[in-house]
Amino acid sequence: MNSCGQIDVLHLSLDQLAALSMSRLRNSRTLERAAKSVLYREKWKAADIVAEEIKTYDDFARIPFTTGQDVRKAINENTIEEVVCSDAVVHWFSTTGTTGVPKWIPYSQKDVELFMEIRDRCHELTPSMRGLKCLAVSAPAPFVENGLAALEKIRGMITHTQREGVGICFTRVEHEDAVSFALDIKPNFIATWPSFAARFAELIAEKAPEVAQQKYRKHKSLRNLAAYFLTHVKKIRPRDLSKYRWGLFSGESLDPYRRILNRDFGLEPYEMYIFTEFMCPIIECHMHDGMHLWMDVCLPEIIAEPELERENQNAGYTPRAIPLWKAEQGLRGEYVLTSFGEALPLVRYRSGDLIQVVGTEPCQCGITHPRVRVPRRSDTTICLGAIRFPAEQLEEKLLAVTPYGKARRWQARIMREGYRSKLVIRVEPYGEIVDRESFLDEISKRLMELKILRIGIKNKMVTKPIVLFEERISDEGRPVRKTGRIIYEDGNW
Amino acid sequence: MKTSNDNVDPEGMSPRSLVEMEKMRLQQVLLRAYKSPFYREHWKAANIHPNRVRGLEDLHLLPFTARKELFEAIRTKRGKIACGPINTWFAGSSATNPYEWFPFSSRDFLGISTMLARMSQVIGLQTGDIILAVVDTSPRISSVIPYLWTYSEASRFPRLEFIVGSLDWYDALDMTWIDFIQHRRPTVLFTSTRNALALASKTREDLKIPAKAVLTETRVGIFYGEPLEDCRAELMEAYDLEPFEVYSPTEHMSLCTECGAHRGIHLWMDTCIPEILPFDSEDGLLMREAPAGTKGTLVITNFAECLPLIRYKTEESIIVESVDCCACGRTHPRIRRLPTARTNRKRQ
Repeated sequence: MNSCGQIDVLHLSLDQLAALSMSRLRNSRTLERAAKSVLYREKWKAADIVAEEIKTYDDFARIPFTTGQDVRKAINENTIEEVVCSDAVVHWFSTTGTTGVPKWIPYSQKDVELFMEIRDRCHELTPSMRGLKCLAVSAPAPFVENGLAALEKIRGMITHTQREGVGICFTRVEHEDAVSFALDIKPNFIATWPSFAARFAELIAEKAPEVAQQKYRKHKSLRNLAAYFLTHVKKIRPRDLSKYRWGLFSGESLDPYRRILNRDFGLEPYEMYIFTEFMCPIIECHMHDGMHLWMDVCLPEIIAEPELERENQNAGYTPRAIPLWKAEQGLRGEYVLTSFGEALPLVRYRSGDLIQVVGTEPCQCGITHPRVRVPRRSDTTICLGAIRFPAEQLEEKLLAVTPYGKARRWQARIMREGYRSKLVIRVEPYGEIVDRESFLDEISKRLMELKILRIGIKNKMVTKPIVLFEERISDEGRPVRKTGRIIYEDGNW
Repeated sequence: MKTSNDNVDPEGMSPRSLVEMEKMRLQQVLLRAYKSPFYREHWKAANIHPNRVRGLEDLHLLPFTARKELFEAIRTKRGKIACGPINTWFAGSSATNPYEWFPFSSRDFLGISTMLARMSQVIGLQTGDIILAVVDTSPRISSVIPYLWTYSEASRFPRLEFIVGSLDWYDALDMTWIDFIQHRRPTVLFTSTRNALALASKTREDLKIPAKAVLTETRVGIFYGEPLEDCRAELMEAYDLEPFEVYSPTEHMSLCTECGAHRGIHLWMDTCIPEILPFDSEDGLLMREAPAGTKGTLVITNFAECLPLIRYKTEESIIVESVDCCACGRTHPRIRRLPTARTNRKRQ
């Protein structure tokens, strides 16, 4: 208890947090409400699950997992009223569809208010925004980032946070008028994807001489002349234009970018993780030793990698999850979430994201909620930072029949060139290849039909994939069907 | 700044009370605006001090503020021209500049939610309405409107459900957005006139069906941005809905709305003092004194905290519909917007 007689939820022991998570699951009647949704109803019936009878974690662990595919199917194939658990939906957000087809997720006002509450909590963990000039680069609607940027702005104003903000959607960043204004207000805080920020820093260096020349032409002052000359002798970085203090980065793992962002912006980077299905942010504190996963607003579990591997090898195998509070330090696996949401509670929802347990013991900052990292997806989605697409889409291009022959198997190695993700693909021939060079060119050309990859290359977020010929591909890497393999090379993934 | 009139429902106020409210707010806003270097210099050049403006009848003593001039000052001096706290910026656009930035204080920004509540009421939105909002992306202010609409402290709203989308990402979503819209069946379309036309054209081209075959349950369209008048019939045909025009440029987000009588847009007098600068005159007329049928440029003086507009020439060509009480019972004057060259360019 704190001095006001309220539970000091940030500093409960791990056992107390586990008990709190379980008690909130019961008190919020999440399972009883969820049982009415077509998303769970039949599946639970088949597994003999009676919501009212779930009392302990062991009871709870009998509940079948829910996948993104289940959610998508439930929403697409039923009336919305049969899926949602509340008649008070206020917003719908769409996922980007990294696994193939986007999903639509409902939120009620109460769910939005929970976001506001957790957002306030997260702000207590980071440096203050008071007095800062903030630049936020977000995504367009219908993605959750768009809503979160707006809700963050509204919350900041309601709570009278004295700050000045400019928000730009990444689809507008090519418009110089928009960006130059945002830079002219001299931001000292930035919120965006790490890869985007890194690319933004490069763009500033590339465009600085031209912009300085234009400024001098418009206004021939000594200062503008000096600035123009400076751009020719020094690489201009964001830190040269503005005194950035800190930045909030999400959407992909921050670790590969920390050093670059610190060097180019001169800021202290903080990592945050949200996903469309559960928009309550988890965030790292000033110790920068993993993001605190708030156990009072969800029941987190993890399916360890060996279990995932077993499932991968045997389609009929149902992997076992363990509660996060029982996970050992360093354990990696798929994040499974149970939220207590109003519009659509997620029960044992397999997020498809790989998490790594940094620690379940109290953090040096004093907060007791477990800390995790989110390196990438746990499924076969090809993760090139913010650019992601299903491996099946890649395979469709790699194994297509070409005028020069066809590939039988492929192996994608994902590495980094500087901060950028780099995809090196080896293809194994199926029979005779007429002209090896033309064959590889043809495959490279077909890869460009993947829209999201093309956008990433065009915007220099990722490098152009390299396609190589190999008579016999090794069995190294995570299998994709029987024909493909994916290897993440960098330890930071 | 709370006034004694803040507790009165401004929609139902008598014309006299509205004038009284305007008068009081005018004096307050002029004193505040004088703190802005932009207005101070502007008025010094015209040899006028706001103290000389004692009532609405003296408003004409102040020089007009040209749109171009104001935005040029913002472009060059940024936040230095504000007279109140700056908490956020949004960008509108003009014929010459795709990004015309404008500052807002928290009060200005959150105040939009009150106007959204009023708009909902005037248009007759009901609990359970599902709104498809096809908004522009940030830094456009429309990107945050659906969220301000549901801002929890504005409890006067009916319970509404929002599907927010943008045409920026329409193609990348490979039509799944349209699929979901068809599935959820929104009852209200909220978008700019330009986006409405573009969406209708996309469904026609991509799906080979008219927009009304996608938005089968949509009974109301709320259209902002470009004047609706010359494409009202086209949108009614494309969507089979009742269109409502909203006038709300970024720099004056008061969501002036057409009511169910469809006899012009109500200019909310509690948010501004509207004038008209007739095409054949150099002197502005207070809107309440303008004869019906007067054509000219809309001039606005508003009560914003961060950067108020004082005798601001909007570049909006209007015709005064009536200053008399509307069939809906509201006393706020009504105007119609005339199509402009800019509208026509945008449509192309």
